[in-house]
Amino acid sequence: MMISPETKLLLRKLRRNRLAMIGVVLVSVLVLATVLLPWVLPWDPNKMDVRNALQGSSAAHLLGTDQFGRDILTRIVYGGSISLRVGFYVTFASLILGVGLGALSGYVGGMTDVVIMRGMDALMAFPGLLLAIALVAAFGGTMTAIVIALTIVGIPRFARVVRASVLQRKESDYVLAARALGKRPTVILVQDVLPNCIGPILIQTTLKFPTAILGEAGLSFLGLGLPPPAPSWGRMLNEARSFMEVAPAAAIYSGAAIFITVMGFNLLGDGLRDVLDPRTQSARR
Amino acid sequence: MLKFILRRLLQLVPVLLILSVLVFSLVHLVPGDPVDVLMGEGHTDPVVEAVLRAKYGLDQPIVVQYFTWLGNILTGDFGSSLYTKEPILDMIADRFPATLLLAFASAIVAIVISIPAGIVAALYRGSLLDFGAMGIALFGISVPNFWFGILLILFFSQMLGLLPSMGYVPFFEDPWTATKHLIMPALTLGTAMAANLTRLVRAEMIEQMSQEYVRTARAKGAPERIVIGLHVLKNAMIPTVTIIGLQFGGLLEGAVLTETIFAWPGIGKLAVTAVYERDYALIQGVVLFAALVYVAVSLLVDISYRFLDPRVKLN
Repeated sequence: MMISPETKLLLRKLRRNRLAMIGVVLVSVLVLATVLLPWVLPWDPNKMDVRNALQGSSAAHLLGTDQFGRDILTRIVYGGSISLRVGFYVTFASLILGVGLGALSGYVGGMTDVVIMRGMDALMAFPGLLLAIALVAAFGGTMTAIVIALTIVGIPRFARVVRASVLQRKESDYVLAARALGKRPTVILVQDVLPNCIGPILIQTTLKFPTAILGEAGLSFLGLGLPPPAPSWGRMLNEARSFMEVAPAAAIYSGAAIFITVMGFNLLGDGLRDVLDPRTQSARR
Repeated sequence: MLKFILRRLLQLVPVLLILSVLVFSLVHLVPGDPVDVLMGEGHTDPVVEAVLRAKYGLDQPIVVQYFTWLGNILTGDFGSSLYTKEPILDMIADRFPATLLLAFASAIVAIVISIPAGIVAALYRGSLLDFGAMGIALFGISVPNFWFGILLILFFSQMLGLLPSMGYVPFFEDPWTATKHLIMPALTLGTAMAANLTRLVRAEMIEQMSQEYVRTARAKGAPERIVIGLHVLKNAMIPTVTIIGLQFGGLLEGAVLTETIFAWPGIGKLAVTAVYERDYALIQGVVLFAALVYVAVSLLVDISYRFLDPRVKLN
């Protein structure tokens, strides 16, 4: 793949952005941990051992055990793969659908634009989590249902961002030139307009990821995620609530896992925004 | 002004129509027949089934069902809960004050934290203060509010025994006890909003401070206190007020989790209970109500924006 000089410059700027690099490191460590640690850890995430329930941290169980004697670290690691998968599917699906609808709306204009954008307005009027709850309640707690629910909530923002930047680029000289050359509208949209909207799309993508992870955690916290014994972080946190007085560890660690993951992606997203949109720079670069 | 408001209301019509179709189809997405739920398990009497179908209009074509439903909604009839048989609008009206109190308290928490923090961060840009404020904002944006709430309970209720870990007392019955119950939920719900607002206030201040009018004011010798306090702050607050309004609608969303953690009897908790009881009519009602509140708040924000910023043309 050829890397353009602009991309190289951006990458160099991103590398110099300290907070973004912390984000990159956090995210990479997380991904590596969820992929590699299951091979290393000796425990089964769902194997119960009631005699060793609610133990504190020890050499055998680094973060202790939960109410069924399951190893908390192992469950957090396996839970990470649920969170990251949901985050990935939801972000990818909202990206594809949102970019499609937004580009169509911005480029075609007219009635198409009005219909799509009013639909997006209507979707945005729903409190996101409430809509997701209602959808998951209707479809049942499966991976597909969770992903569909969170995607529906995620599309409008993508569509708006893309529409706005397509509108901005539509009348630029290179698009007019492409039109004068007799290129077909779809070709212009894909070849000339969308590649120039990549900045805002990229920022929205990195910021969608943590929102999706928080959404899944929220759903499973309410008991609407994957059914037990799936070790999703939200469910672990909710189950740990009942034992908080005797053993706060599970509640603290499972929540911390969500927090650190979300923060990693937010740092990365903020860094990208600093690099791509210098108007909104954060405190230190 | 009146013309603007009318036009804005007219624009809402298609949005509200789409919204109503979405909410209506929500219940029809549910796998299975609502009549089965109404009849209870194991009952298969075809006569009873036919009666129920006729009673709830389920024997009508779906389009007819939609318009009947829409007509009922427009006359303020949200239907009844499948579980308690209570009118849904009454159930919502019962819980809404608690949610409203929580939302207001959270907004106050957010405003009290974010405006000073954002201003200080912008004035001392690049300093440790700025770095600290932005670090806390990052924390606020990343922390899952249900975890933060649990940590607060762990610290203030279990370890220090200072605050009650759950429950709700109406504010006007006993303001002191009510406030004690309100502190942790409001902090939990207000954190994310505070974080977003701090970033926004900082960005707006920085943006305004680089404007020409600031240089002019300084050049004619206006003291810094006036330049910042009068000119910059006023202009930075216009978008801030808009966002406060819009985020207020968003507080309803966070209320679902916050109310669950603190056993706060608002509409968020009502929605969660409805889900557990598979009370689809009630879920439908709450979702519709929350969306309507959001639309109404956005409309108010839009109108007040025109008042605050005379540069925004009314037409």
